[in-house]
Amino acid sequence: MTGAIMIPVDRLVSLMPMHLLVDEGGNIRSCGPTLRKMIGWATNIAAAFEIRRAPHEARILPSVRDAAASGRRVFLGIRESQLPPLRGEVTALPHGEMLLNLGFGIGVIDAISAYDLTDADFAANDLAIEILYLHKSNQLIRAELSRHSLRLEEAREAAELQAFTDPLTGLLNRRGFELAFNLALEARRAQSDPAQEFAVMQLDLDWFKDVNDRFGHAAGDAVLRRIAEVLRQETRSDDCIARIGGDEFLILLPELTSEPAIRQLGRRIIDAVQQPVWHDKHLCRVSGSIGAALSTSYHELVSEELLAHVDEALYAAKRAGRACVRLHGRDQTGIDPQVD
Amino acid sequence: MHGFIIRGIELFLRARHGDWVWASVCAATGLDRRGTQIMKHYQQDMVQHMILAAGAALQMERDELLEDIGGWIPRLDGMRHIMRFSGSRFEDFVLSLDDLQDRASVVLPGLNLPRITTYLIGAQHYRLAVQSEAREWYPVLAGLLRGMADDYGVLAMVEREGGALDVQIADDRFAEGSDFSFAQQFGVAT
Repeated sequence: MTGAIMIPVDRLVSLMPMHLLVDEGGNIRSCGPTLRKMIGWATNIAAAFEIRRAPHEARILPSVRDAAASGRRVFLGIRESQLPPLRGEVTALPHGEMLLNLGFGIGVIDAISAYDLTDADFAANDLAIEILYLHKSNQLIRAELSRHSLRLEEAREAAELQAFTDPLTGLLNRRGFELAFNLALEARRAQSDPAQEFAVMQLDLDWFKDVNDRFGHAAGDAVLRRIAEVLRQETRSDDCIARIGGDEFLILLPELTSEPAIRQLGRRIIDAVQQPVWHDKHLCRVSGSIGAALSTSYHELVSEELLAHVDEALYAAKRAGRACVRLHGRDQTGIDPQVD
Repeated sequence: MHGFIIRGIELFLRARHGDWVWASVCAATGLDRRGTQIMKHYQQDMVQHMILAAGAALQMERDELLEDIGGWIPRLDGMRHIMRFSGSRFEDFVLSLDDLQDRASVVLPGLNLPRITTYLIGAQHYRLAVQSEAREWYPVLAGLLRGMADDYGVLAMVEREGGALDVQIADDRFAEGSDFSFAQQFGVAT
């Protein structure tokens, strides 16, 4: 059974704070207070809204009337507003009047901000405040979670750094050097370009064992740290310096192709290494020998081969009386000793 | 114990009492000094250990410390805003605490806050019963209610009464409450 029920218009206000009651000409007879905050003083539905999710030529009043007849929902965009359309149902009343009850979709969060709405603006059964609650809670939780992932990322970076770093000097360790060296090899293989050529230099300290034996390991450590400092000062920021054993260092020098340049650099390093280091009232003196190779001496480059040649050059330097630089392929690095 | 609660206690200790207290709590409990994790699960009695260690460091009674934690929650802007969504008046807020457990489990599944039952027992007079084995909740809740009463500008008496909390509003125009609008929480109106 259906029967007419009477609701005083002022009760509509609290039951449906987003209602709209229009006459057959679309003139607004009653408007919920929350909706009123959004449409201002508009007196006709067509002045306040445009029909959405409808054919382009659709006009608002006939569309609303169709919706009342068919029971379909209507979507109304507020004029001059970026909010998603309000959505609702329409009931036809006697004398051509129509009652619309509208609601926000996800636009509720923006609407609250745009029109300064409070919980009193929503019906008791409206979940708008719950949406806000979730939205705000999620923001807080997300902030905590991103702090968490930042911490993980930092921990990962620290672990990675540790895996590739020599803790005493802060230089790379052998693994770190291999990584950089293999990248340089790959880049050279992929692209024949002078910018991909490089040089490798190996420094071996002379008389380091004496320092260790005479003054103890702390003195030896102080010398190694000082050498690391020297190498950092004498090289460029994108050169890779590694300590690969007790007193052995490898340096990868990208884009270095000039023989005089590498000899000069080696000479400067040896001069600096020979500066004595004070440690605990002891004057520690070491020297160094350097072997080096240029990638430009090779057509096809194999990593083991190049490092073996650098090593041979280093031994040649040692045999030549130490404190000198030998370059693979340019100096005699075979069995015969050669004077620098 | 859910990391959300552990992290909350950590933030309270560091903000209110300084990193030295946090350091001594970590030394006593084995927690990570750099900070706890909201999504991690901690051993069940971790809260008790933390409160014990912090109480010893600060020379504070357990209940006093727990009340301070409750009272500190509304001072966190984000938390205060969330609490305020429960009602536009303090009494709505008090009565709506029976939603708290469900709200919390929607936001953070696994965060098992205790169920709170709220009763209206007279004019502006309420009783709250916490259904939990843990004795820690009552002092925390008492501190929270006092803090929120301040925020609403209401003078409320909160007393432990038998197995429940007794809340009485003495004067609901005690002071100007802090301004609160939902719009503020979502940016400036466009």
